[in-house]
Amino acid sequence: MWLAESYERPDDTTWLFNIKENAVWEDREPVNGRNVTAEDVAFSFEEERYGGYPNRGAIQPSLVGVDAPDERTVRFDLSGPLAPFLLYLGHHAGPYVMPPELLVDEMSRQTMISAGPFLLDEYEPGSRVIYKRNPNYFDAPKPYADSLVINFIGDNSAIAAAFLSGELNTTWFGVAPPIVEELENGIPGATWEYQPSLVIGGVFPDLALEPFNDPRVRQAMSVAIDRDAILTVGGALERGQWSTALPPLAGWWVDPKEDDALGEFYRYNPEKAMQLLDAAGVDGLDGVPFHTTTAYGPIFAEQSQVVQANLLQVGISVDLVVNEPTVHYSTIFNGSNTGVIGHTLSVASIEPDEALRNVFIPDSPRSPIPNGELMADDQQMLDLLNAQRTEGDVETRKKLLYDLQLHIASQMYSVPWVNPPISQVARPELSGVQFIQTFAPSPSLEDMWFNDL
Amino acid sequence: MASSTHASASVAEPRALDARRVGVALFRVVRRYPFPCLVTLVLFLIGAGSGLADFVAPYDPNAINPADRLQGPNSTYWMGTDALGRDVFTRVLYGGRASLGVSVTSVALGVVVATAVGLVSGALGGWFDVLVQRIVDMLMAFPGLIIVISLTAFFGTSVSLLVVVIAIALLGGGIRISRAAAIQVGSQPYIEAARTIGATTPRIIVRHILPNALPPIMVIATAYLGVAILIEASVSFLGYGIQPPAASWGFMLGAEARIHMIEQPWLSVWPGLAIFLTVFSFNIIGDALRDAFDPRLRGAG
Amino acid sequence: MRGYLVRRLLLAVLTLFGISLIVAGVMRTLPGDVVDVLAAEAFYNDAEKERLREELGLEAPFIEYFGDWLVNALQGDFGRALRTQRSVGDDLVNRIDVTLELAFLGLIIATVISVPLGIVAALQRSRWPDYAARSIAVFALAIPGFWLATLAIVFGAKWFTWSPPLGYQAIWEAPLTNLQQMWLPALLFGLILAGVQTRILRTALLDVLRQDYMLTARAKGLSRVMLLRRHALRNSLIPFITVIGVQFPVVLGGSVVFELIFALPGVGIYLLDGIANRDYIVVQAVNVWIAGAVILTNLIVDVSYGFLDPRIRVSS
Repeated sequence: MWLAESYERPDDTTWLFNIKENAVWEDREPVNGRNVTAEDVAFSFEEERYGGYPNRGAIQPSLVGVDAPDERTVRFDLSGPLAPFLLYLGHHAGPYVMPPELLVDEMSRQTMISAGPFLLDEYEPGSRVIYKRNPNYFDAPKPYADSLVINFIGDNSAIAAAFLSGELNTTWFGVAPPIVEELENGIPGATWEYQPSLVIGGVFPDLALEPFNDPRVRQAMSVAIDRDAILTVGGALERGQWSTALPPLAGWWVDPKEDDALGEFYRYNPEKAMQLLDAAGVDGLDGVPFHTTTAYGPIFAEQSQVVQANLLQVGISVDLVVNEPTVHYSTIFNGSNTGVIGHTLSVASIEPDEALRNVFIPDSPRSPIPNGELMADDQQMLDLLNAQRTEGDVETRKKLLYDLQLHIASQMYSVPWVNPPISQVARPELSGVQFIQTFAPSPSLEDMWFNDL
Repeated sequence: MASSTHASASVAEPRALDARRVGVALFRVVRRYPFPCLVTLVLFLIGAGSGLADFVAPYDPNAINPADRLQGPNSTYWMGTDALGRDVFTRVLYGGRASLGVSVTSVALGVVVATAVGLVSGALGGWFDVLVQRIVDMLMAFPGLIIVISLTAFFGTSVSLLVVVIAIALLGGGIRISRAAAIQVGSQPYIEAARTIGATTPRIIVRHILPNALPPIMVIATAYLGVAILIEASVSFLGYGIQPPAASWGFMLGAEARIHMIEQPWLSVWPGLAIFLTVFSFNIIGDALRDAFDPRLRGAG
Repeated sequence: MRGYLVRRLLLAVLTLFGISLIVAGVMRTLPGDVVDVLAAEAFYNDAEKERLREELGLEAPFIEYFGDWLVNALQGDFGRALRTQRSVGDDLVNRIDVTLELAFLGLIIATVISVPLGIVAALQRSRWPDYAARSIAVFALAIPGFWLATLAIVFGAKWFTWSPPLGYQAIWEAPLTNLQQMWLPALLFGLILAGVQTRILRTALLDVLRQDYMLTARAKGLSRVMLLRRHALRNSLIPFITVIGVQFPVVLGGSVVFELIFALPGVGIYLLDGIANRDYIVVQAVNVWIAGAVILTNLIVDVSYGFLDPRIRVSS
């Protein structure tokens, strides 16, 4: 997106972008500092399209073709109007632009070529990556920092210790909110910021698994879970929010604490959970495999222990299984592990269309819901999903998305928990730290600079 | 003195005499070896507290109470609470049950197998002995922790697997010790004598070699209890051992606790102290046992 | 002597071969299809999966697979890491120095601590210095390494707002930074290793002091200190060298947790990453390397043993 100088939209399904003239690749083999061309962009989209990378496939269903009419113009043809198109181009739903030369001999696996603010300087496996400033960056005078060192630290107490001692200037993820508060007291002038995470953590039950195929059981699970307790355990009661089918930051999200119709499905109410279970004819459950992971840090396993304790109160006894990241990604995360209820994150987005599609379209390659065929029969949901995707008017779209949140809550295909805030902390010597929202909040590194202290 | 009246009563009641004798003997032992006795008492308390955790522990080990999270030691929670508001003291007791349970079982398994293999190998000699020695060489080439994490990670984290794998890690040394004992005992003249009068090899192993080889095996078993606890703790610390929400000493120092340790440093203290005290006690008792079994080695180590 | 050397060498090679066979066999019987795990994460399609299976030799019978692996390994090629596609042999060479430095520094510190303790304990046998030294040894023996490291990190930051510099630097590149990073883990590691070493050294010295020639020397009127310097220390060198051999696997195993907590990119972290990624090519190679290192150390120890004490040569 930043690569483009301007764009025009001759009609609803055609977009034209002009690429900045001063955008150049770094001066290394095989590109040797040549210009970034429209051909590179078109190539990257086509590669993405046929290479089968479902991680960033949000645009693909609507994309007819990408081509480069001249060296600086990229042209997109869509099959229909797509409300979030511009946003999709600019975040992880779009592909990374790369020069075609990199595909030769699998160079893309070994080489990193950048046209961005920083260039790879040194990679020390297991230890750190060092980037240096790109003197030819198209958004000069950014970046402000001359170099950027990213350290790999496997131990959470060591991360916090390194920040306290000044070995780290900033961290995001890795330092839990309570530590941030402590650090604020400990380091005068340190800055800190919270943003709710864009991803939704929740239970994703196998929809073919008895008795979780009954919507009442799924609703019961939802009201059995004490979401504020989960936030408290993460030290984030004041700042964290409850998720619906959408994450709080999306702007289209409706707070279940404020909205009674929606809140009914999310507010902690063990008695109601028992009634729902009674109505569904479930009198206690034993030994249900409940999978969670350490893939997003240990806090995730901690949260699922709260849920485990909550569910036990209404007679659902689950066996916790903590999966390593690799196992998690190949099973729960893509919904291929049937017969269990799993705890994971859904790939969310600032864009509700992507957030919902990733989870509730049963053949979505990344839906964490196993045996989701049930959802394919939910015509009401599918109609609402399509209606909001093509709706250009913001207020009408908001209404559609509210109905959708309410409808999905009543079906509770997945049981969302909370959006824990992610903290970004910076020591006083660092300024200009700001979040950008993509897959998850991360700081915009090109905007940071060091103060003279 | 009170003892004289006891003495007269003991005539009528021999049981009381026995009890008194035991008491005196115990007193002598305590006076002679005050430190090992103290350590045994500590170990007994840890063992009893852990074994009877269901009755002794003040709280439910898995009951969460987020409102009371991350407290330091106080009168309600003697060792404070963790991030979920669970009582750390209770979890140290239950953690001890898990850690001690795994270690004792794996040492029992490892030592029994190692003794059987080592004694037979030492007594038989020949190709079997050569084969066993080569296997021991291989086992000894792997650091215990490395074998255990490599295997538990790939084959899944279950308690029974953990027990077997720790036992395997202990096999090499165990076989070596018992084999050496068998060879030493086997060269004694009375074994030669037994052989000449036609005793079969199995009979010699069971009747003569085993009882005589038992003391060094007991000593090594005690030392191994400490080693097994350290291995179990390290593996659980790395996340491949006992799984949450069950408590274990290693896990209580692991990744989950580590996000909160800077905020609540007490979390880093208690489980480590429990491991340390237990291993320390096993080692002291192991030393004392060796002194008792083999006076020649007294103080030699 | 030559016969002894050849025999020891053959045994070492045989052991290493057996270990490679067992490790490869265990890796082969892993539950679940490693390719599925990999494919899910890298979003491979079926054709790519098939190619990967071929590449990994999963279609071939075990003997063929192991034969290929062995032939490549003998040429220094341990395959490519499944996750990163980097050469495992190169990765190990790049990382072994971290682990070895930690091990050597740890052993040196352990020696510095254990030699005086061991000597005092042996000379003052059954008196209070002996009890003190032995208590310290048992104490050190019982401390879990990862606990000590945790306390150092947590309380170092809490009380002194200090933590080791980040971004490991090799000692020949930036000696000062390297030492700033290494002194604490090495010191803690050394403290723990000192436990075993003190005990073994004390026993060895006592054995030597009990020998007849020592009594003779005493009878000649040599002082205790002279005695120690002239005879005892030199003779207890042999068991002491053995200690290093015995300690080495312990050191390699123990360094895993120190590398993790102090963010040192050594072989231990490489193994942990390999395990977490289900990268059995890495796990296989690291296990064989570690076993190889242990066998090599034992070989060196045995051989130097043979040089120092002619009796051993003869008897074997």
